[in-house]
Amino acid sequence: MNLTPDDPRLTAYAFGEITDPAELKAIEAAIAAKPELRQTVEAIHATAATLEQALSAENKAGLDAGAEAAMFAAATGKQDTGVKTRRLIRFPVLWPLLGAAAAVVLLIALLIPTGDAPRQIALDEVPVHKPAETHTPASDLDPRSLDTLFMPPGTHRSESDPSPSQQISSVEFYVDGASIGQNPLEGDAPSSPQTAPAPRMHIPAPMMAPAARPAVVRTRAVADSRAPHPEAFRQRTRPWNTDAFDPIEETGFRSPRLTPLSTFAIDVDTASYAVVRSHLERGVLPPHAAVRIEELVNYFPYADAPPATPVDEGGEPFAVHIEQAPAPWAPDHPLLRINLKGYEMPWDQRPPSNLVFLIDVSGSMNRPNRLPLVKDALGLLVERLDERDRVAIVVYAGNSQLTLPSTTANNRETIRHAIDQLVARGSTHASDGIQRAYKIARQHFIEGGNNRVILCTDGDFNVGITDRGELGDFVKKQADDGVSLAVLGFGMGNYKDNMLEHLSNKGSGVYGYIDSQDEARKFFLNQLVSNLFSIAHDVRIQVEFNPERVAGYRLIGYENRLMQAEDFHDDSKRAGQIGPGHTVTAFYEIIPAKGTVAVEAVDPLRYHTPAAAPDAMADELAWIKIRYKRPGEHSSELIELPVPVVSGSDLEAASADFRFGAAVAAFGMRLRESEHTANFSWRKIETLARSATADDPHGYRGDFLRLVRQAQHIADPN
Amino acid sequence: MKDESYEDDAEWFRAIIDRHAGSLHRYASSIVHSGETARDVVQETFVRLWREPRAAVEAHVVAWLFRVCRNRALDYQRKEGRMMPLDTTPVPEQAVETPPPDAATESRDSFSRILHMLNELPLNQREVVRLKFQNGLSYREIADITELSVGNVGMLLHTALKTLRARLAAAGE
Repeated sequence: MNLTPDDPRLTAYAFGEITDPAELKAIEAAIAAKPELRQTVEAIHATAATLEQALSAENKAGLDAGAEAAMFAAATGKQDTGVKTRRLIRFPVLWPLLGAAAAVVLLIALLIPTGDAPRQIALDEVPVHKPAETHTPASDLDPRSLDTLFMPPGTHRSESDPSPSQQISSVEFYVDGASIGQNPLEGDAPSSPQTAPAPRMHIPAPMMAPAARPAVVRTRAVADSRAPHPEAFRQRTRPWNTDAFDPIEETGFRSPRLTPLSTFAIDVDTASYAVVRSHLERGVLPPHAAVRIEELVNYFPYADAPPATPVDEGGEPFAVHIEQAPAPWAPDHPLLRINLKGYEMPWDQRPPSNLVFLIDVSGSMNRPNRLPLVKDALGLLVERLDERDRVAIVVYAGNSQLTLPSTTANNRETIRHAIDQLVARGSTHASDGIQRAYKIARQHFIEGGNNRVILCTDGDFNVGITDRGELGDFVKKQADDGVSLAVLGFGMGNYKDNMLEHLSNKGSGVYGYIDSQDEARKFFLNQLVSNLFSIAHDVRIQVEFNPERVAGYRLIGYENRLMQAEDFHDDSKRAGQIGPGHTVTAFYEIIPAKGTVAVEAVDPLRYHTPAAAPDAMADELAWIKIRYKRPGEHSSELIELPVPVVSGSDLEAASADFRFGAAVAAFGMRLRESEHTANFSWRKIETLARSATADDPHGYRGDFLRLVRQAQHIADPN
Repeated sequence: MKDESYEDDAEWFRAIIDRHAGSLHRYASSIVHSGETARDVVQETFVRLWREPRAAVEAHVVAWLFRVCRNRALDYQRKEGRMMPLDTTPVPEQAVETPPPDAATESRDSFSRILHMLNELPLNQREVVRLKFQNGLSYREIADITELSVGNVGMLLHTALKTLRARLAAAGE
């Protein structure tokens, strides 16, 4: 029998489902002959075991004890007399334990019926719950986000959903023959009979009303227009995407007549690219939710020119570049590329840095691509710093500990020694890790310098503030007061990815995902200056499209960076930050006004007759406004420029950076199974990118070509 | 197999409720995403069971229960419109006073992780994974419950496990 590791029969065999003796024998022979088959079977068993444990830990007691009796009565019409021959064992020893520690939430209940199939709950399987853990979307950017449509009036809207009272397994406790009730720890508070699902409020960004949309929010959820029961609402969660292969609701084309303004915060994060890469290298497509197209495009350096006038001569911190060419996947749609390029800062002209590393050393960090990689990365960094800089290290794993007091960076041995000592250990008590880190940063604050807390984590971090909204607010306030945040993810896939990205945005810092030595070098050597420093913050862009020239426009990516139109002028709103030498690219796909497609087909407005644009603006496609704050400033400055109508442009004549960026955007769209790239194959993406890889000093573009091939291989194996 | 311990049908029935109500409720919740609705589904399932002659269902009562429960739950789900599927991953508690041993904490972290990944799988894969690994049902029973062929079930499980293995590896397990 010719068995490959990917044969479903192996899985069936692993679970004892092969019953035909001849087939069984053949499979066993095949496994004996090929060691990789045996490894596959072992891997299947291991995954199955973890699944079983995880699933059995899921709350099985969503029904209170009365429910069963009620069901019996409803079905039979008889009075419930309980289950026959079930004996509950009493645990008098439990009582002091329960009484002593009100917060102990591990429960033991052992039921031994005389019949078969005992319903045993072993100690490590009893589910315990903590207050709702939320993915925090950028919903603070949009006060009219979808949740307010569904919240019962008067309910407080916050980023982290209020959790139900602690849910404890509904089990009867007996002490000395007398029942002490179901929840002896709760006193009189009844345990919630609802099921385990911890409520979350997670509004997928495209469902939020994007900038200035006057029409009714057009989303799936609105179809469910009956007001949900408040209890049901609290249980309801809206994950970004649970079915990995359903298309995401991308921002569709907007009509400038209805939605003339497109407003978004820039984003220089690159984590999504590394996460996507790490999935593809393992042979699977990434979940849609992991693919943030702007982060894929912005992963790569581009050759756009930095500002001509230096900042200290009155110049702006970044230059703005515009380019147009036909969209590769839709040649009759112009693609508009807007690019910001920050000024380059030579390393020796950098401001002094006051850095506090906040490092997760909980047990889960004890893997080769986690804590050891953190240590390598830090080592690289420390080599570059000198006596003008300061470094401190705070570790946390439940409790926090200052393992390196703030030390000037020329004491390399001392710092290296502290780094070497970092060891992943268990978690203990609730902590104040993040507050401590910021406190140290403040103690050694450098006026006019770069003061930053750098969080290094694998995603599961409990830094003392467990409420996600509170944590976001905390880091935002700190950033406003001069200490910003950078977030580095290690080895965590996209499990807490949205949360970490959100946090880095609030803290005005970059978010990177370090999955390898190469990535560590890219982050801490090649692009160190961009990542560690900030030359402008709260950078946001607003584009107004000319309805005479544009029938429809679509911003590619930036779904969770969209802002309300009126927030463009609001300096209290957090936007994006940009470091020296960073390039930030945004693409708009445009349907020219000659096109006959009905974009946002809505009934003609009754009161609004669009005035024709003056002739002088006839050659303008759009108008771009950019607001930004210089470091340390609290009020923003404005840059404005027109986008001319360009005719007769040719994709081949576009710059290499345009073509490469468009290829990466198309790649992201294809990974998300966007309808726009349904006919733009992987091969075409690769060809387009390849045409623009001449200038590739670090090999990043070559790596991208490899990823496209890999994605094609996974998506269409034949 | 006749359950010899229960002569009285009502006692048998009560014991069946005792054994399976919790699992059924958990299973129904994964489809309808509301504890209250799930409870209704489970109740209706048991009402139907009571109406069946015991001898006819006893031998395969678990598969019977899950199939009826599934159908009821899908009916409810269809009726109430297409709701966004929930991420029903329960989040493990961090013990506050009594520090748990290292391994337990770490395994709880990885439980959340794998459950989160599970909820990202397509619905049909998620379903068979729950039936197999949460409820201990065989390929044949799962095929009965979901009205798929045994081959389909095998393929769905195979693909689901493969994806989970790869995602766990990508997440650095």
